[in-house]
Amino acid sequence: MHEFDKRGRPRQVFSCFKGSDVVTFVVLMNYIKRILDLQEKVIGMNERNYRIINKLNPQEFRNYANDKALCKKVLEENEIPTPKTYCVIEAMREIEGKITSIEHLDDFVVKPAMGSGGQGILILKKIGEQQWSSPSGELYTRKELVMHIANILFGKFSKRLFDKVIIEYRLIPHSDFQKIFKRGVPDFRIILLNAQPVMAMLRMPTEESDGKANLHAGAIGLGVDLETGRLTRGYNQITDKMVSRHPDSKVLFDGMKLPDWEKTLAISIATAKVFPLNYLGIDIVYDEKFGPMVIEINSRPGMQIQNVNSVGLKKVLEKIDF
Amino acid sequence: MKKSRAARLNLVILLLFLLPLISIGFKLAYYKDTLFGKPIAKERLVVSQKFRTERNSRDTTNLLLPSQSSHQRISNEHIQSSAASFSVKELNSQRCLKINPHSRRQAISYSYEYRGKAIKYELDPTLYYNEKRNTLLKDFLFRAFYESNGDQMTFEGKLKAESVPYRVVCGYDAIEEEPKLKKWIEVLVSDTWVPFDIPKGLFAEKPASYVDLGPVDAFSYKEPDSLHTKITKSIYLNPELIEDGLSVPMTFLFFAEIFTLNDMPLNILAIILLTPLAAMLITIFRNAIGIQTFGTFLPMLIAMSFLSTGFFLGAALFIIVIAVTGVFHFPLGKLGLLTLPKLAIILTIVEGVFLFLIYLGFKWDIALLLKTSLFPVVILTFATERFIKTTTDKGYGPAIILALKTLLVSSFCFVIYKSIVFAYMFMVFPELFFCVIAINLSLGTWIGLRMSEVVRFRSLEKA
Repeated sequence: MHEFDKRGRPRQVFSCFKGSDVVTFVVLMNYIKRILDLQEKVIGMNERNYRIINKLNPQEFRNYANDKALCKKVLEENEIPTPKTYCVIEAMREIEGKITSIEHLDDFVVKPAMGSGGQGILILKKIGEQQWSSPSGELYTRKELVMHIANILFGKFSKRLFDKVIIEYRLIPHSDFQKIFKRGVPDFRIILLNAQPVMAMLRMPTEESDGKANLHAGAIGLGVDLETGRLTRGYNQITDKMVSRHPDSKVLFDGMKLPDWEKTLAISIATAKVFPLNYLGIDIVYDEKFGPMVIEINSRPGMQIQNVNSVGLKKVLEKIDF
Repeated sequence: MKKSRAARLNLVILLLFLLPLISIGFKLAYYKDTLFGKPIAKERLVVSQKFRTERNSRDTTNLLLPSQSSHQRISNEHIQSSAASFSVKELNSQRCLKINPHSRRQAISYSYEYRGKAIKYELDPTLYYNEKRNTLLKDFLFRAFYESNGDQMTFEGKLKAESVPYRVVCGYDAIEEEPKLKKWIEVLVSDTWVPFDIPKGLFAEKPASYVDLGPVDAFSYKEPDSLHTKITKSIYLNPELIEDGLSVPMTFLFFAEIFTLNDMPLNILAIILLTPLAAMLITIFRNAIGIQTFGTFLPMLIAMSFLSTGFFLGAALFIIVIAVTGVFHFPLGKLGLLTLPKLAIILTIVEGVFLFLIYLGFKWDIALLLKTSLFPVVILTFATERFIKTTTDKGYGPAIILALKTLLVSSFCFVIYKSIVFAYMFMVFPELFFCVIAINLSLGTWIGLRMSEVVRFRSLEKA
């Protein structure tokens, strides 16, 4: 029965286990432990949907977040600052008349009421009779504008058959933000639980995102210190790296003080109190003229904000009654 | 309050998981022999009988008809006659075809499909047939069986002499191509008629091929002279099925038997049975691993379409469809068309490609391409629509990655649909569905990080 290996030593009794197996096992256990530790800090999709959204945001009220036209109506009724709505188009037959009614304006924004991810949003500036141009320099004639609106109505930018079109005031970002990057409109995303701010970030457009304030598209998210109102480091989702400077303008934003942060927070809290949703992501743009304005609310805000702030949401949420 | 609800849910999950296991255990214990015993007559036999009466016949003719029993299953009975003067009757609890006298000559053809099961009895050695004389029944039958030297009349005489209750049963042996009516003896042993075929030397057993018509002593039965019986060993259940190696032994007393006996193709049954499993797999992929796909359960449908095309042609078609869509979507997008008409144009092109592939299959006689049937076309058309939606939402790169992920999940679903092991498991133990529900329930309350999220949030480990 005695077997010997190449060097003449007797074989181990449990020949099925080798030294390297033990190492593999330890590495595996270590890996599982690391995942469990991460689990203690971070909230993932499953937990967000099951423990937070399903329990705190009743299904029947989620329409406030899905339909921007409805949301804006509620905001206006409660006198919370929001970009002025010039008109809402709900059917094809209204298009011509409503365009005529806004023809005199210098600039305006056309957007779908139920779109997501900044799709279908058109920022237009009047350059001539029935001619507009977008910030990227594309020319829009009246016919093309009608086409765009029709596409929105047919649900091209929303996952529905029908949609509404909102034509509203064009926001101009505060000069402090323009210092960081001139293109696009940066916006705040503030997460509130039971009307208490939990975490916030500033989404800053880049050349890569084509002026959109959308992290998927390549915009960078800048962490915001809720107490001091200062920007912290930023996070680029595409490269998965932390940054301290804007990738295009190279402006250092780490530690920059935000204008009127208290007011922004106060508006977000007021907004949260108006809606019957207990867990909200509120998007706020700081306008040059009118100060912070709520542009939309989200009933299912994304989890990327944890990476942006380098903090897991779990501990922060547990401090508040949850 | 919250805790008790969670605890109750956990209890439900546990019960849903355990009860099927207990029931499976019982089934295994009780039906051990049937489950692991020999599978019997997989093929079905078509027995067709033709009968002619003479013109101006005076007599009524009775034709014995087989009836359902634990030994045999009769299906697809057809009776056709040139003149309608017959009826199916019960005579002394025996089914028979009664043909009435008629002035005209009439031809009647009767056919049915037969599937049999071999039966072998173990006789209780402690059973007496005559307590006074202290004789054991089994011993007596053994002796009588061997002493009659293959002569049925002798055996009958011995039974009669000892007044053991017996009857003569007639039927056909389906192994013979043009079988003659044959008779065997059945002895009543504690409420069961135990068959003995003396000329064939079958002691207390009846092969699967014996078509049992019933006891002849109910009324003296003689096979009509002009009867012509033919038995064809015909067609397996479903040619496709045998290819897959999927056939359920009839001995499975359970769930699947009813479907197979009533001509439900087993592969369709398998698809229905395995769909919950595939859906569960997709849930695991999405909620535990974090792989998103087109639509929610579209990979399942794509896997189903692979079943008719085969995996490689299916995957190739999927990639072709996505490629064609991608190529044509780009210039059409530049035209600035409205979304729906644009989608319709792309779908038209995709259908054209399918048609072209089928055309090529016919022209060059490529059998593989001819498998491109309607079902895959419809399903892959759905995939096209999803792909276009994703490209408009997120751009080409993510859409292609999503398409590949969909293909990956689809191929896993395909493995499930193709697996004979799972199909058998669910056919024999349909209570496994409760296990599937239990797993889905626990996935529905599971709040752990998805594997993709572990990667996504790995930088927060130090925070």
